[in-house]
Amino acid sequence: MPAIPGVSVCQNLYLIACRMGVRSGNWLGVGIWQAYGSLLPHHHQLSGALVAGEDKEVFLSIRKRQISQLEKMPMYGDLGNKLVQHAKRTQNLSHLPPYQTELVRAVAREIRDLDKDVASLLEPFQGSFDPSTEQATACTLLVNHLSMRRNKRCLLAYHRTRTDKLEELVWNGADILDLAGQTTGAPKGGATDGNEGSGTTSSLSPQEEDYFRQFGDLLALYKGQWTDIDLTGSLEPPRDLFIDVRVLKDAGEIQTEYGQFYVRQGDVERLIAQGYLQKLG
Amino acid sequence: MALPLPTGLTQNEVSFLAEMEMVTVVPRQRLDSIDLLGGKTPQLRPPHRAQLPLWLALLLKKQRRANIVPPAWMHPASLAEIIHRETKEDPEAFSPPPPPPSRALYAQPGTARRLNHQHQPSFLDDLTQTTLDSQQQDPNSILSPPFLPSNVAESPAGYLPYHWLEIAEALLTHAGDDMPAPAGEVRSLLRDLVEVRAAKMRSSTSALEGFGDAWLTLRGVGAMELAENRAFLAGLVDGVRKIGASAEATRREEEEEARRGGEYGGDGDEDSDEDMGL
Amino acid sequence: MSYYDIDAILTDAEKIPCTFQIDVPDLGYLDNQPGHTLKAGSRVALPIWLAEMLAIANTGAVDMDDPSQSSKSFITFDLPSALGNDVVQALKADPRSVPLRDQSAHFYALATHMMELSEEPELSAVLRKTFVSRAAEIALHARKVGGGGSSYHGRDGGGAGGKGKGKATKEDNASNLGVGGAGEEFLRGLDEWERKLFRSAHDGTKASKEWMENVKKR
Repeated sequence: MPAIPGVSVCQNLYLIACRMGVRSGNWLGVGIWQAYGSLLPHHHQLSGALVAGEDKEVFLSIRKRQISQLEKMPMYGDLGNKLVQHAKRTQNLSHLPPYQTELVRAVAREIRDLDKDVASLLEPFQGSFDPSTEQATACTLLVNHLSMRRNKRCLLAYHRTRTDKLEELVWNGADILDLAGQTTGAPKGGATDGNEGSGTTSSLSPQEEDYFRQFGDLLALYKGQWTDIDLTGSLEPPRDLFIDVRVLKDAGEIQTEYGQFYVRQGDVERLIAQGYLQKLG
Repeated sequence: MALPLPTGLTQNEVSFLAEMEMVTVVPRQRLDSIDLLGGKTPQLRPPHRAQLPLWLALLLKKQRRANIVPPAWMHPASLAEIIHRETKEDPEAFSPPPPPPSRALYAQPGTARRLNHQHQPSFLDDLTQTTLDSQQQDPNSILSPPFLPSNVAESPAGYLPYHWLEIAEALLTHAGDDMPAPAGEVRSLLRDLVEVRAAKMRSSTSALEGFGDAWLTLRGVGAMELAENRAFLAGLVDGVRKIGASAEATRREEEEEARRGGEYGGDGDEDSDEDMGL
Repeated sequence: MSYYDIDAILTDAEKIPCTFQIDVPDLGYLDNQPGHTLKAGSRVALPIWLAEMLAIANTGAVDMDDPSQSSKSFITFDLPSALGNDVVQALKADPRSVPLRDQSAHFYALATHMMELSEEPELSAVLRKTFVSRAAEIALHARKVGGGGSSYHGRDGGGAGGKGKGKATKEDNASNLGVGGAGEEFLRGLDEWERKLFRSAHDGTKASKEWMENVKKR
């Protein structure tokens, strides 16, 4: 059973459960969901039993690293935090690490469970809840509400970090096929990304691929308005009017204003970008 | 997408812009006036000196069609004087930027008026006319902006113009043989100056330690030094602001309170009502 | 502070000591005792995102005997140990010798957030001095490293979140190769704000150096 490094046992169980629940909708998965949602103590006991039976190795390796955390109950919002830590790492990377499908799903699920919790807490009151007489319930409701809000913020921030990165990649002229094949450099946690069964190893979620394509179209449309300015061209100020180039590929006969021996940087920028020429010096 | 470049000009951009500064050249060949976007360049007639933008001067220098007259402030004596001033005379401050050509107004002590410009006519005149005019209208202006001949080509010895480091590097690299002293000597003085000022930049931050009356002064700091330190200094000042934000908010509230207290000072009853927080 | 700011979100995950003012049957899990009632007076470490609102929101209960005593909060909170007296005294003595990262990866952000919640004039003054004097040291190291051509940028991906300190240390060491000795130790102890400062100072120096080399190439 693959595990996300640095995730506590309970969180891993949570993901495992998520997968089982999603795959077959079997009773155990569903059972754990319910346990997590409203019967937290059971969840804790279950986790011990399940982990021991299912994946001793993961259990031990995580235990070594996080003995102190093992003692603590997982909190609402922990998974969201995990997601944001992924986002933090993403910010400093040049590539886009795999989309955390399972984690995202788990956080969304947590929100739904919290929402169900709130509904069941409020049910007995038949719409006449008075926080000043039911302080304890009011407090629980507030905690649930804040946890949902927190999870929402984590989810949005995670996705926004990734879309920012995607837009940057589009501007830099990245190809969607490059992104699809780039999981090699990704950390081992990549094993938990989604797309199981679909056969691809894209680090993008299907929605992100869509976003990438459509943003690319949008940028092309925008750029198309100016034919003599390359908006995605180099932002470095030129150091010289003329540059030396080496021809890498035969591009046929090209005549610039200054003949064949002097080339102006502006005249051949596109050829450099396309890989026909290489700038020297 | 946000521009991938940091806030403010980068080193390469600063260096590019610095090539618009004027330098004096001694032409070795005749060259007709060139009609550039910024205006016409002067006709070059050896051995008459002329002022050209740095990029053109460097091009002509590379083609051996002109020699560049190093600006006065680049002479070793001038650089040594600046280093002396920065280390011994006033170890706190950066040496001041070149003064605009001006004469004191004796009727109004402490103020000065720009003289009728005495610099050699240059093709940039049209471009800078507005600046000059506005300075003439405002005798209190002591600005010394870049791209005026008075700030580079005609800048007096002992002052560093805004683009000092970029121009000095370019001239040392491409016109080393035109230097008044061996290029190595100038370069080593320049290195010392860079180090002295970098250390000064770092220690100047300690001015921010105290509360209230702390400020950083960047007068006399050159464009390249700003490009290098902008992100750091902005981050530092922003951090100080954030750390002090809540204390600042409290202080303002108290001031506001005191001001209101003053307004209602004559009316005791109303004042006490305020205190009750009703 | 933006809603989407990753560092702000991680700062909000820092835990602060809280004391519950009322009994809450359903929240025992917050004190590692699921299924039990969380008793009034229990001390629990809660993340800021939870503690802040619980402390601000009032219970809505009005004491009939004394209406002027308006409603109380669900919890009260204290400063986290990262901002405790020990740390403040150590910072007063020598700001440069304290590895702030061991207190919190988001030390200053945590502190400013706490100062928004409760006034701490002394803390504010100490932190200002700390930040400024450490910044000068940071600039010095950044110039050394940046001038040496080694690249710090982009390599310190982690250390976020304050958890897993062992892991963070390893990464830090890897990213500061070439600083050596006490400098390395100092840089390892930088919090997130300070790391950003280091990066900007380092990148500035590096860009200048690259420019200087380019001038010569031309």
